[in-house]
Amino acid sequence: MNVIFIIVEIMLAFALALSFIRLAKGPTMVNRVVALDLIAIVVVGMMAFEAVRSGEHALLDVAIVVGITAFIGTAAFAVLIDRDARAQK
Amino acid sequence: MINILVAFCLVSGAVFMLVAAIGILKLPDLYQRLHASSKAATLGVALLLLGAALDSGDMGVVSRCLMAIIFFILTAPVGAHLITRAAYYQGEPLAKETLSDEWAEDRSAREP
Repeated sequence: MNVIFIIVEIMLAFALALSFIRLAKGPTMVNRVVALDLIAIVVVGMMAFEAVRSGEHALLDVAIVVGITAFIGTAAFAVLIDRDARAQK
Repeated sequence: MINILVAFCLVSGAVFMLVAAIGILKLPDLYQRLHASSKAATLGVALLLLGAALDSGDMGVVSRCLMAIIFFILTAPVGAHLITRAAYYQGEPLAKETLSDEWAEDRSAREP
């Protein structure tokens, strides 16, 4: 089981690093919002994994809250960008 | 036995997360990037949460995990749709391999 934990941890860390690269590169703001959304989802996955590894199941509550916050953030960014685009026309 | 199931869920969930991250880095276009992130990442996080639910064996933890899975499956398409619509209105460019843009054709046919 220990080997599997290490493999999963490395894969999740790589996923987080790749989405941070997109967050830094992203040509427009919308790309950065997408990267932030993916970062939040990967963090939720890491919390679920950590709950299995350490046996601390209270982390799942934190994961649910992070997920809800990420969705609200994405929706708010989308509404802001939409309003901006309509105002410019 | 349950350990094998948990390990399978964790590894496949992490693989889907990695696929989503590679997709968001490598695909040429915002719309294709969103396609990678919203589908693969949702499946990955659902599998990881399922692994946590199987590992605990506690009713409270299982119900929390199921609630989180249902929440992610419900909200990922909504968020992707909102952000794609905002990006299209803002004039986010399509990839140069794109074959057809039916929304633009519809709109130009309606208001010439």
